[in-house]
Amino acid sequence: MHRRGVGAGAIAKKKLAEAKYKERGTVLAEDQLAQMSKQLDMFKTNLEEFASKHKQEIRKNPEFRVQFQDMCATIGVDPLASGKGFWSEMLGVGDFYYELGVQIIEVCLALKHRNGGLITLEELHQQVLKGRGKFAQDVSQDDLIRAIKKLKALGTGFGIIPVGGTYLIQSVPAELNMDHTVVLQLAEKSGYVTVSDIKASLKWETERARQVLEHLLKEGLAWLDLQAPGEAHYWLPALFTDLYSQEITAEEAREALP
Amino acid sequence: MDRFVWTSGLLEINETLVIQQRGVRIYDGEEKECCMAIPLSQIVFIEEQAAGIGKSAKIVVHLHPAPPNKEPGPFQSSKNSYIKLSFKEHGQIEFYRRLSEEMTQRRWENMPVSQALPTNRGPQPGRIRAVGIVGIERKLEEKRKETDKNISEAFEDLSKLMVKAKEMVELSKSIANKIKDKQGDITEDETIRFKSYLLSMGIANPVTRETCGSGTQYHMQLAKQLAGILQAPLEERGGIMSLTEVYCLVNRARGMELLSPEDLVNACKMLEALQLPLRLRVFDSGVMVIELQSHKEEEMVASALETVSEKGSLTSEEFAKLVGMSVLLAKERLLLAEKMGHLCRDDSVEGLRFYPNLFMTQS
Repeated sequence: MHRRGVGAGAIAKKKLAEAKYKERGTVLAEDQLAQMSKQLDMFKTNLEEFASKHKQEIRKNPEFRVQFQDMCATIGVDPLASGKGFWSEMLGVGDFYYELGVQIIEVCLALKHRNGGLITLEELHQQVLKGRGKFAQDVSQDDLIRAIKKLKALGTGFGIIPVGGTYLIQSVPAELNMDHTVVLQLAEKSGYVTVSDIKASLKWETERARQVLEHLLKEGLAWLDLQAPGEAHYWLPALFTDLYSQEITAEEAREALP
Repeated sequence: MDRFVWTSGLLEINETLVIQQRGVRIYDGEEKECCMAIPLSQIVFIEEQAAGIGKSAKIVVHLHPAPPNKEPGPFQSSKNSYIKLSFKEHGQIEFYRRLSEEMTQRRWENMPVSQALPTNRGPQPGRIRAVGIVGIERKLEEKRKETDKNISEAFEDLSKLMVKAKEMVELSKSIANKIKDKQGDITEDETIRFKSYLLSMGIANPVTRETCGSGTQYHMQLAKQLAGILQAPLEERGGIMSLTEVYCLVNRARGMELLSPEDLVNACKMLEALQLPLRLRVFDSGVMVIELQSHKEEEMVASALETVSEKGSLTSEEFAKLVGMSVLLAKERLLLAEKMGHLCRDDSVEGLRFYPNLFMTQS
């Protein structure tokens, strides 16, 4: 091939070649879109087939649900993103988790006056089960966590805080930074924490410990006990377990008092 | 059922609480009965029994024969070698999971032997086996194989499905790149089509990083529906509702084919653009609300100031109670008033209290 010199002609030819490439680029994108449309239809059919065989498995088997969710996450698919998605429509996973979201919100709202908007996953689980009633399908703690993660999109402060071997669920937009969560984790064992506890375990100065505890008090997450032996105890109602507290009726409370 | 011993119900030394579940009925074999304890070491094997119509989910617990020096319990002898735990108030899934874990870990074998309860170290060769244990173990094997087969078939099918799904993800990424580069060579129609494909698959929009990408046809329709559904509830609640309230209200009303949180947010984002009588508003704190267009939060601030002035000072809770709105929204209103300079805060351990801003008015 002749090697053309640099000049107007060469520039023009280059421009023509670029335009042709650009044209092909557009066609390619359109091609891909058409291809995707076809593949989507095929996928929908495959999913329908899968659903007809294994829909019950997902409904009844929480371990399978976990595997399903993990696999989706690995490939970059969110089956719970939209109620209009294939996964939700055909496998019914959507309604299951979105309804659970509603139930979680209701439980948190009902108990907020008591625990300030912080609740252990265990207690949330128990309360949700109670609310769902005897004839509803059982749910696992993993199911709750997934539903809560979705609720974060609603912007009202749903958070998941790891403590001990479990989680605290936050349902109000209280600002909790790392200092606060670390103190919550410390309190998890006994349901309360003192300034000395914090200084001993975390090696903080008094002022830092005091500030964190005051913040928790302000947010309604902690209760101050000045009658405790030794120094003031800061109790976290969210961490009260059945070992410490019991649901008693007003009559029972009256009878118990001298 | 003679394996039980009486116990106080409190934890002994070396005992830890693994899981508690209310509403569990205990069956001796098939007979219904009714605070008793069995050491975990007495358990040979557990299996699940799914719930049925009118029947709650159960866990069947197969037990070793009672040891001769067992502490007293409610029964002296029993013809059954298993009990059933019936979960009247659910919780069976978690209980079974934790119990299986404990059966695998067998922590009691590592603990110092407490005098009262004897520990069995599993089935011992040469020991007299109770009638039925061999049968149980055989059933266990069969059941395991059956379950494994079902699970592995489902899992296999699922894996195949995921491979196809992954192809779609890759394809969508490639298309998105092309769209990004061309910047306008793809028609608007095609972009809309693309977004709806992403919505169906649950793939995050690679360009905007939002799942399902806002602005699909579906969300537009949804926005219009919401405007219709929410008009009356909003008027009842003073023109403003938090997005969580809206989510619960709408989904409770639908009953089926519920909206995902993201569906709701994406639809609400389009309200203003579609010139509907509602709008989405995000406060500084991140709290998201729906307001009627006619609702002017800034005007409400003026009346909030009046209310606070009348009472001298108010916390969010007190204000919420007075006005009859949720504490969350009450707080936002007071914070907005503060931002506008009408209120001052007194932030102490006793809570956040708002006062009229006298610095402004009395200069």
